[in-house]
Amino acid sequence: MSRNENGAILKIEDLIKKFGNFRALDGVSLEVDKGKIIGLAGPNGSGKTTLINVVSGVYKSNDGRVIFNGEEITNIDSHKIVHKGINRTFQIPKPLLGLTVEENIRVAAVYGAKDKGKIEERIEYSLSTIGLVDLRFKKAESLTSTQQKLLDLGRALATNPKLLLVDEIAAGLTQKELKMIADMLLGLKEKGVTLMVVEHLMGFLDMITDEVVIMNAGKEIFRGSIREASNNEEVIRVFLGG
Amino acid sequence: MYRKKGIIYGLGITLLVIVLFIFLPNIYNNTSFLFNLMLYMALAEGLNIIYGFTGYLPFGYVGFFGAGAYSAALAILFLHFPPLIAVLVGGIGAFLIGIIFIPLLKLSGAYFAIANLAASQALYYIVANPNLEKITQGPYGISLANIYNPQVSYYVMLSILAFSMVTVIFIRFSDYGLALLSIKEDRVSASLAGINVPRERSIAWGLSSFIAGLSGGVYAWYVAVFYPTTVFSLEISVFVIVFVLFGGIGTLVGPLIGSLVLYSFYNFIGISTPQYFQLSYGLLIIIFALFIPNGILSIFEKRGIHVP
Repeated sequence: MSRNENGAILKIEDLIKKFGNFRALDGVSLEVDKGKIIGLAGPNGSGKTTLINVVSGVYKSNDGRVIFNGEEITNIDSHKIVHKGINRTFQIPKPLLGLTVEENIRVAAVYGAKDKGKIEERIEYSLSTIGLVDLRFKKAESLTSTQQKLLDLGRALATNPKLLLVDEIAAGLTQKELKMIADMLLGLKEKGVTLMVVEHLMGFLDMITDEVVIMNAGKEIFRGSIREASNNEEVIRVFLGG
Repeated sequence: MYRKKGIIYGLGITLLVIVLFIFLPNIYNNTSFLFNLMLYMALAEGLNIIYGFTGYLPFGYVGFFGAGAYSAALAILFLHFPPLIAVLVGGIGAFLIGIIFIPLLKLSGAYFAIANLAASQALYYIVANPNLEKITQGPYGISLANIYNPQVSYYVMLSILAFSMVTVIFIRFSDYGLALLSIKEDRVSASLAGINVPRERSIAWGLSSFIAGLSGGVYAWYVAVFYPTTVFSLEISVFVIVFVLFGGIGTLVGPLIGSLVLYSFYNFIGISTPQYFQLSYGLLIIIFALFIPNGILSIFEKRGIHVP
């Protein structure tokens, strides 16, 4: 299997994150290949969201390294990580509730992207990608939770990310919405964005991912295709259930 | 388009306010009331920058006002600066205090409000310390009798009010204002929109402290005699916060309306019958906190009327 044909865009090396005595990340190492969609699954508390939080600068790690495009970015501030080309969505979406949809996108387009040109273009692109053009003047607080998830994604897109970390976007969606979001993420891949998608729904991961990583207790326990995962004894024992 | 219109309306309102305060002394001879009204309006706009846009409630805002008054006074007494320059020194003095207080911004909500209040009280105790009598005159107060000039200082106050209004206009209708509002909404989301949260909020804090310092400086000039208890009075913080809340935070017009209505009200009954004033003030605060938390202007906003 030729995993590294494009090289890794993100390398995580022996990352440790402790909350008190609990090691949410216990020396996890993994690589994300450029231009791919990698799925990240595992039981609750296995460290998936913590990993995203550390990579995006929301949490500081205790040890280990995060390397993006060959440059170490361990524990630098979120806004700098955003400028380097990484962005994320939240499991519970966190749009700026008092601002309109367009303002949410605008502020990210203005402050989040390295090149300051084409701001209006980027706003329109983000709005049309997430399909909220008609709601642009609505306050974010008046959106449904699915629309807020999309807005969260739109905020990330407006910053022109090269790597997008998607945290459990599929939870609670209808079948139709799932299909729509899957197509949206595949469309981003077409445009050259690399994605790491944290997800419980294996069916959803199967629709979009090239490869999955299964985590348990703060470590990677498996990497490969979903089909391989479903035959792996350890994965079945800790995650899929026997 | 919306922004351009907002800036034009805003500047129009500023011009109107300037013209009004130039002509009002001709028909209303209580200029000290007019001066204080302008002073509260400017302070309300200044507090609006940090509270209305960024969400930090500075209970110790008066600290900047006092620091400005004392910086200006010391510049006049020891450096023999002309009053106009001294007012600017007042602004810079408060701004420097603001820089020293920047670490407070790491706190949030009530913790920030309390810490800021304590910080302003610390300033008061430094200035009022009898051991510093040679510099600050300690508790005995400052006298600037030989530069007393209520006419010129009136117009300087008006210029500071105009400056504070223009600052708020450009924040309200710019991407920078949007960044500040984002910080107010959610600091994590704001930084993931690429906003350098510590830097942007510090700039707002600096502007806010500068305006309070300028106001303190010109107040020192206008009254010429004052004490630490006058310019570090917690009542000033409370007044300004209530004025901004009453009118509507995060707007240009809200703080003006709040100051006009409530400060007039204060003058009407607050001085003659303070007990009724405090009673009705308390009731007002409760009513607003419960039913109109975003101020008078939010009633218009809800009906789709956008007020700058």
